[in-house]
Amino acid sequence: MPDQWYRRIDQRDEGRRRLSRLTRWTAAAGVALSSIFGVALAQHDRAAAAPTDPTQDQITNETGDDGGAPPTTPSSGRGKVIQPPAQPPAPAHTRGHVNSGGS
Amino acid sequence: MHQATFPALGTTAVLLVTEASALAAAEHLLRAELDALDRACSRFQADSEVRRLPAGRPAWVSPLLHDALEAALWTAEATGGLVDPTVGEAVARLGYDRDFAEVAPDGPRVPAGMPAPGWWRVRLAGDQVVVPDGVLLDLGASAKAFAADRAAAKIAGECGGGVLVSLGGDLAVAGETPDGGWLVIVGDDHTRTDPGDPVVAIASGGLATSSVIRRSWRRGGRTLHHIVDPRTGDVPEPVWRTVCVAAGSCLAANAASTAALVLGREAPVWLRGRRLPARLADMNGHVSVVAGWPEEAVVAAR
Repeated sequence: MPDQWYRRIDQRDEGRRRLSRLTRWTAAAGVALSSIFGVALAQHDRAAAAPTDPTQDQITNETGDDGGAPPTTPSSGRGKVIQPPAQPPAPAHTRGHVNSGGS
Repeated sequence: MHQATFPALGTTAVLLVTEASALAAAEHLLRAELDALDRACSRFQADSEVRRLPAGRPAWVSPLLHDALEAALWTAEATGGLVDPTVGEAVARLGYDRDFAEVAPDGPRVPAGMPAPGWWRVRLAGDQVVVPDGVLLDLGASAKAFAADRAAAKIAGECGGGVLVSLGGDLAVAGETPDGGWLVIVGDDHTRTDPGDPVVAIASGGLATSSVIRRSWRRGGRTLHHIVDPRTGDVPEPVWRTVCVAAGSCLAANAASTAALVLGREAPVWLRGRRLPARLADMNGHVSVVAGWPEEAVVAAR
């Protein structure tokens, strides 16, 4: 009975050690993979960043390639939307004053 | 109506004023504005201010270049990056690397495009700008429209009366509106009128037309043009040949018309969602109108 009891305790301790080793390896692998993906994504972004829809946070918080760039601070008062006309163009059945076309 | 026409910015400038006595002063103002803009913003003049900006470090800019840069960045942000001033390298790679009159009409295949670096990398604050190393700015997609708005407002303010400024067919109006409005013939090419081209009247704001018909050339058997999709660095899929948009300003109209060419099939929904009246002619000349643009009795295929 005591032998069985000690053997079970040894088995339990061995199981805990294995679980502990597995946890440490998993954590280390997670850190390593995160670093690798982080570096890869950063390099891709620097080389050829696709122009997604950047938010104002990106505009104002990004430090720029030189690390000391001033943030973009639009001051024209145009807002961020394309302003529609006060009224749509009206049809006209007469000669025009000027042409609008490709240039 | 009193008119002056002269070449400027690689295209044609047209000035209309309602008061005859204002024409000479108005033309003088417009010429001065456009000369200053060319010196500040030209991609093709080695000594232009934008070409002399240092790479990767802050630089002071003139008020004019500051405002032109701000207009370009606004255009990019307002279109969700569909019209981006950092496409300069991509445009040059496609072959448009000098004044258009000097671009060879045909040539060998060009390398595959790369996405534009992204407008948000250009830092503009106060009277300083930082253009990151490797970013080549092309203000061509917004500079003419910006200049039309600016010149029209300035001329109306200083000379009075009503003013229309058209730069290569991108036009802004300011001041008094003539009876019946400003009458604009809309077509593929601002230098000519084709039979069936509609005429519309506008009272304020601006109107712009973007087209892939003019300023086109061929490389490796492909037809290329000056409208580049920043997401690919290449010309967009040919869906529309000409898009004309009316908006609260010429800059806004031009942003939308250029974005529509880049968007292709999604353009009508995009324009309608922004309540931007527009006329879209597809590659076969079939016309669609959205958001209150006048319907056309005859939809001609040319």
